[in-house]
Amino acid sequence: MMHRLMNAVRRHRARLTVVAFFGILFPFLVVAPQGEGSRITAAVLLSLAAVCVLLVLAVNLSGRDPDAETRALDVAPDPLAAALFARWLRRSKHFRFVGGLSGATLGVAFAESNLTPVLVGLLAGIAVGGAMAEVHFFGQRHTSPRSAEITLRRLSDYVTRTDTAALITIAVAAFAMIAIAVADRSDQPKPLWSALAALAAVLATTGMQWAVVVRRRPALSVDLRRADDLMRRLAATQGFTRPAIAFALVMVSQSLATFANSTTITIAVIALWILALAWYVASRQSRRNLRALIDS
Amino acid sequence: MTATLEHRRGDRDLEDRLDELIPRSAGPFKTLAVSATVVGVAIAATVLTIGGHLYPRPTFGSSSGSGSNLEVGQARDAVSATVILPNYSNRAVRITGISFGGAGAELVDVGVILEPPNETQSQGEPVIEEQTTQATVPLPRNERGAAPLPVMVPPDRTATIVVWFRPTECVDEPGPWGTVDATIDFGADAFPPFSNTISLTQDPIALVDPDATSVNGGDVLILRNVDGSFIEVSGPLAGACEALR
Amino acid sequence: MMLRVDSTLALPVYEQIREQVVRMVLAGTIEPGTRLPTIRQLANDLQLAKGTVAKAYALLEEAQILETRGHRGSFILAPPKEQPVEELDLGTELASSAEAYVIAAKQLGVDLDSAAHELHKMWDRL
Repeated sequence: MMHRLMNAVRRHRARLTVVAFFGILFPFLVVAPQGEGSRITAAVLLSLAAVCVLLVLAVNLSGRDPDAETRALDVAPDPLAAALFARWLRRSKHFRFVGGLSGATLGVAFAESNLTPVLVGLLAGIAVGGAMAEVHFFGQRHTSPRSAEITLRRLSDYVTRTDTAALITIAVAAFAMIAIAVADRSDQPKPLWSALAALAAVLATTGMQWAVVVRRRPALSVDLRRADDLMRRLAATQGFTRPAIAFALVMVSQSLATFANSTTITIAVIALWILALAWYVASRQSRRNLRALIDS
Repeated sequence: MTATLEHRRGDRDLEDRLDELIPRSAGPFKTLAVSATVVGVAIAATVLTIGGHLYPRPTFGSSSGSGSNLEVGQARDAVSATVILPNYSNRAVRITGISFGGAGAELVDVGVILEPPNETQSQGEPVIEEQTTQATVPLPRNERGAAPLPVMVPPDRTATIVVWFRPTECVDEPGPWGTVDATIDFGADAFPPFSNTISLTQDPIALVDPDATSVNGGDVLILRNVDGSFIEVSGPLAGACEALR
Repeated sequence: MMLRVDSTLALPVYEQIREQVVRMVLAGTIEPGTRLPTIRQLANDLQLAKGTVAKAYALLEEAQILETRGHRGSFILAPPKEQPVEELDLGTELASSAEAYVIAAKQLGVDLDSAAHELHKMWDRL
């Protein structure tokens, strides 16, 4: 019964969010101005909105994702891979949600006059959450016999060339900005810190990619090995690399924006924001994105 | 073995094999508890940061202002400008350092004046307007009438930072002039021991117009003399030179 | 191709790795020029310390079965013709492993059909 309720909330979360939105808006715009007698109605509507918000939040935080199997079946080449993908989709999506929510919340602490820190926090949180979802099986030791393939796994087998090129370009740009900021001895720390954050994101992402590649894999059947390869590809790309690239692009744009005021720099900053948005959209775990990655 | 048992055993085998590659979910309630804790910690950190508990942030969500009025010091050896530092955080902050930036001028002295507490509205009564005066709380004062550093600023109180400068040039250049930064912490031996340097001049003390004959888009600066009279000046350096002649 | 190690055996784990790689090279199931996994990858896969795998690789290099070419990785070499190498008797090797399996099955009271079924299942699994 509880599971059915949670699944239903999860499936209709968009509708519940709309109900909550109007439940909050309606009392202030329509009901409250009508005077004393309408305050009870306003209180009821606000309570309903609060219940909707809490329900949707609780279901999302509990990691329920009844659509995971369906999405996995749509994109997986076989049922075994589908079972593996479903597990990964549930885990990755949940970690990214918790990370993004926490990051956006922390961003509010620094959002004095604009929303940029919230967006930065959101992207960083999604990337960190996606990376944390892949941190498993580290440090485990077993005494029973164990087996493994002696097939080499390469980073290029799991990360796309576009993402790799983006990471390298961002690193070079960040280095250049750090060098300029240090040489300039500018009183403003922001260019330096933003560029350092971008560079740190690139380095951490690369380290995490390697961690996914060399993560433990016992000897497996051919079909399970193939499914695991695909899952690692999804994890290393969609899971955290693409949100991290989006975050790093925003950091580079922030660093660039503080250097000087000119039309060229403004255009470059806008272009970087657009690229960041594109990478964020590409990181979403939609059927289309998953299919594109699996087929490539 | 029955078909159902075979099927269940097959499912278990599949789950066991998948367990070697990716861990199973911990269950909705445990997951909810852990996730809610993580988000709760983020919310707590945010609230503590906004409230200025983790590191000094007295002016979160507000803009500190700079005074556009200048005043000649009693000794007629310097001109003062004021900026305010309102402490909107929930903790007292200690001002440990003031830095002044203004081309063509040298810093002579700095001091702090603590404004009296705000009178706030109670139920149904009109708001009593804040009286901004030169009255001080019991702080040691220097000969210029302001307390030297360091100064503790309690929560919900406003400190007026006074910077005395002497012009080394008498010609104002177009553009922004006069920045003041304050270094603040929570006090000696306070926890956490973080300090922060904030700018008190999001708007500069004076924005000299391109023609260098007016400020802030055609306006003038008011300079108060020792005898209490007011003169209008076209720029901070030109005005200070004229007043100290 | 697969490796299997058992830390409860008397034979050190790095020796088990060395033996199995040599066996595969002699049987031709790993061809010369094949690049082996990195030490870090193999250590993670087998849940061993990196030093253990490094020692196995060092022994294989000493025996001129393996060559490490810096950051490019470790490659299998053809066994040198002039050096006498241990002969691989497939029959004896398999019989030894089969004996261990049959004894374990009989100790558990399992009949031939069930033992064969489990063998088929594990063959498909790997």
